[in-house]
Amino acid sequence: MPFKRDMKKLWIVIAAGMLLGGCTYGRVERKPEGLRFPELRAVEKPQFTRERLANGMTVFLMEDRTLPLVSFQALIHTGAIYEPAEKTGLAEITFETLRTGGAGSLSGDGMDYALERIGARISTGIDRDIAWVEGLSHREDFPSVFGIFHDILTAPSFEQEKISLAVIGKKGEIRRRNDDISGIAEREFRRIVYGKESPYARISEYATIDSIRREDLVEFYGRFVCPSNIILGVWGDFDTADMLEKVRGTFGGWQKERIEKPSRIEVQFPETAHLNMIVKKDATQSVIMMGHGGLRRDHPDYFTAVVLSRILGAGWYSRFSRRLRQEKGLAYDVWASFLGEFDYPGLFIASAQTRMDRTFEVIGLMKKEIESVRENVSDEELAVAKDGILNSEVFWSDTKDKIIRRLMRYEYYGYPLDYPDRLIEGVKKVTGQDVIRVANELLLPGRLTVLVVGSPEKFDVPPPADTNTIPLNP
Amino acid sequence: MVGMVRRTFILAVVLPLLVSTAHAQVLADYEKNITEYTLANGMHFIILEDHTAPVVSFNVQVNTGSVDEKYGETGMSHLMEHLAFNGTRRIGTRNWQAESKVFAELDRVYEKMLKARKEKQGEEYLQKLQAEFERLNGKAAEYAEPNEFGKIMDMEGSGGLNAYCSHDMTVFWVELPSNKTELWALMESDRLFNPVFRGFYEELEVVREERRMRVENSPFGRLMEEFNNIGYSVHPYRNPVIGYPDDLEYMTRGRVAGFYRTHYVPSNIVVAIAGDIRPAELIPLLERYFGKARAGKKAESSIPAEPPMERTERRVTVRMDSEPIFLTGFHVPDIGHPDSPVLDVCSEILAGGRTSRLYKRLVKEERIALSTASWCMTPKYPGMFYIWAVAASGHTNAELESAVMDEIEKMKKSPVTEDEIEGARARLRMGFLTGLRERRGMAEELAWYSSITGDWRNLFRYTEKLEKVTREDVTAAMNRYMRMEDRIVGTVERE
Repeated sequence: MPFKRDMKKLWIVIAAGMLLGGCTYGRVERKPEGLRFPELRAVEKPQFTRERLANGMTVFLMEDRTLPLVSFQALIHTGAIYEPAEKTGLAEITFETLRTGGAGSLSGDGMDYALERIGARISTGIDRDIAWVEGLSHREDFPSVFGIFHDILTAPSFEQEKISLAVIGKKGEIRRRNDDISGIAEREFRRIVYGKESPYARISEYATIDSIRREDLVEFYGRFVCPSNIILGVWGDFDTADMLEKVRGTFGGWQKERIEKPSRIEVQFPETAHLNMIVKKDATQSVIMMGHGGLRRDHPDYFTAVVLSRILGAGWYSRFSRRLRQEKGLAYDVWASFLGEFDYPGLFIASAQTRMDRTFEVIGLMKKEIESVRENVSDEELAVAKDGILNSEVFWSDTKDKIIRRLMRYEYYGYPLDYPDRLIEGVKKVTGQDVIRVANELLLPGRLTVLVVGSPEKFDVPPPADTNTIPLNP
Repeated sequence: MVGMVRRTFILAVVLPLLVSTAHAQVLADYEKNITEYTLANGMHFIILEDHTAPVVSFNVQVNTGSVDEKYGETGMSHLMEHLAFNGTRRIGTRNWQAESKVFAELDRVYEKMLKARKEKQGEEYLQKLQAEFERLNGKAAEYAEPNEFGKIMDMEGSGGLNAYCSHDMTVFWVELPSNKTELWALMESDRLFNPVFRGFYEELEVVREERRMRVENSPFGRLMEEFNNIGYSVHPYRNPVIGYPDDLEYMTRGRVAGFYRTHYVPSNIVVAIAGDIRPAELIPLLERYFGKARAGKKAESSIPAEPPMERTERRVTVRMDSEPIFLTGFHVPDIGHPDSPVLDVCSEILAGGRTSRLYKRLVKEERIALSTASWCMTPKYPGMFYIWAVAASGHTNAELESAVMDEIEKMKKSPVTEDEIEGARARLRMGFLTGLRERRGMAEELAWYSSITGDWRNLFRYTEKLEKVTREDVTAAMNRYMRMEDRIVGTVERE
């Protein structure tokens, strides 16, 4: 693959792309010359239904009759940031066992059988500030599968046996988390920049896992999983009126008062050492990450930061890609971007993997690009970045699956449902001056935290004396 | 993506969900929406109309991969895939005439350097050549417009642009808004038929970095490389797609151009196009842009057949700073063999999901593994049935091996249950149905089946065969292929 991209990160950047239509910039000569493109036909905005059940649950429905499938997802207001620090890992174990530990009349094993026997799927997951239960079934199997989904949300059993299985899994992850050099860099960079105690960066340890008891899971589930903390989406091969009835019939009778609607936890970025190093003894390539605190997606300059990211380090024509990869062959994987989170400030990260004996040369080049984009941005770079976002907007809406999942995210984080349109309008207005202004306000060369994971004896220059060496504990 | 053939089992089954006659219906529906077209030069197109959104997925499959590389040139097809992004005589240059002259001078100096190094000529002479090389390479760079191909695609709204190379195939894909179809035809035909291998020396470095990332610093990557290397004794599936470092040392622009000329001929290329397009409007564009390419003779690679493994168990251990990983494998046939769908069902019963035999025993019950997986790779040539397990803390690869082998033996001795077969089919069917939703995945599957088996319909026929797999078939296939005395075992162990 000539261009490896962490899709998640790119996604966030391209998060921008959202409304129809292209823009043209008279000043920039287009290649290939002479090609004229017809107007893109308008994207049909699919119909969806948004309802609030009497018990407080929000419901989104969208018909998609192309295949005999029904998909469903519940977003639940909770997240790993709400678990007690001394029980870090509790949120993940709770949500894993929500699915594996049985529910209603089914044991965990019985549920695995019931679903896998018909090829249906239900899975659960939790991130720092969001959790979900989601699945998919054939239209004909939907009633029984939706019943299981209901039981998982309302009557989980948390079988002890499956809790202990989840604990083994978590401990295995801890034991294996230093096998892969990129994994080390991503985890530790986050811990340095947010602070290792921060709910947005902390990680499980054997002790935090060992302290988790079944009653902790029951309590964590009980605190958050209730109708008014849930946004439920169902999309696929059904008639909306029938499905609404079905959803009311299944979930309407679930009465459970909200105990807690989680509130935002503010972030304080700590002071950090400039250069940090982790030794990975047998590595032949170093992983470099540098950056600092960034912004939320509702920041007034977020649109400009998206354009800036494309110019600096996201996409084929970005400065990072051209200078470090194409012109110098110093890295296969190289990028820089503002990672915009919805509910807490994301990070600005620049990253590269390079041979050990060019490590500090690459660090220097990365810094140079970060500094230079604060000084100048060409018309062409601006046009490529903006057009790329505006012209690819159609890929935000090319499947109903993408559309409804996005709507539910906006609803969950309290963003306007027409956020994509606003983003596109915002991107259209971005000027070169805006990019330079925002680069100066949000890219802070003096505050860059740099992390290198590698073998220092093979570096091109010895690490400076004030390098902060971080021990790699299991 | 470097590595294996992506014959996903995601799209492996097409059958109707409930009624077995529905299969014919699904194929019939696709027959209505698919148009095939072959240019006079032999280049073949499969056009799938899907007007649900104004976008198009393009998937170009050049029927060449690392199997076509000669001794000493591993990594050639993958390097070629990279270089295809670096432009043509019109894209990516400020002045092709001047640039091409510099390329010629530069390449002469580079070849002298290779010769000097090989013959261990004096250091002073080498340094002189190196300085000259750098001067010329700097001059070449002055004419280049870096990443112009990707830049144009990005700017015109690509929803994804990338490529990968496998043992069998080189695949280029892009998604564009449907009003940019002509742009694609222009750009793709230019890069397929007029590449100039720009930025050659830098791209070699990029590939070396890719190798460090994917292979050298990845326990899993190193294990796969070493495993395949012992798993085949002569067939080129034994070589890594990304190439060996020593072979990369001797790549030259001339050698890559030679490889290109004999493999990138129109009759060796299949393109699938899925999305908001009308064949009547598209075909004239295909004629105009791809029809110009001269027909060429498809290169015949002489690929040695793998001799049968008779009572030759093979083992390899990779030692690195990593927790243990266990992998075992057995030789299996190619995609066209009647046992191929049977083996996919075996794989599903062994390791597909939480009700599979390996997961139940190793993860749920004995708790010696964190996860298990299997993949029956049946590509263009006879493939491999891989089974992985990752040990839980305090457990060893030896324990995993003993449990995995025991489960295989059980499946050989007594028939699987009807329930297991039904469950495996249901999961494969659902996997297929969900795959139909993916424009990009469909384009890839159609092109792959057409390229490798000669007809895209084989995608659907393959799934029909899956529906007919019986318990007896499973037992017979397990006994035929999973012979303990010729197993291949690879492990990662901590240094």
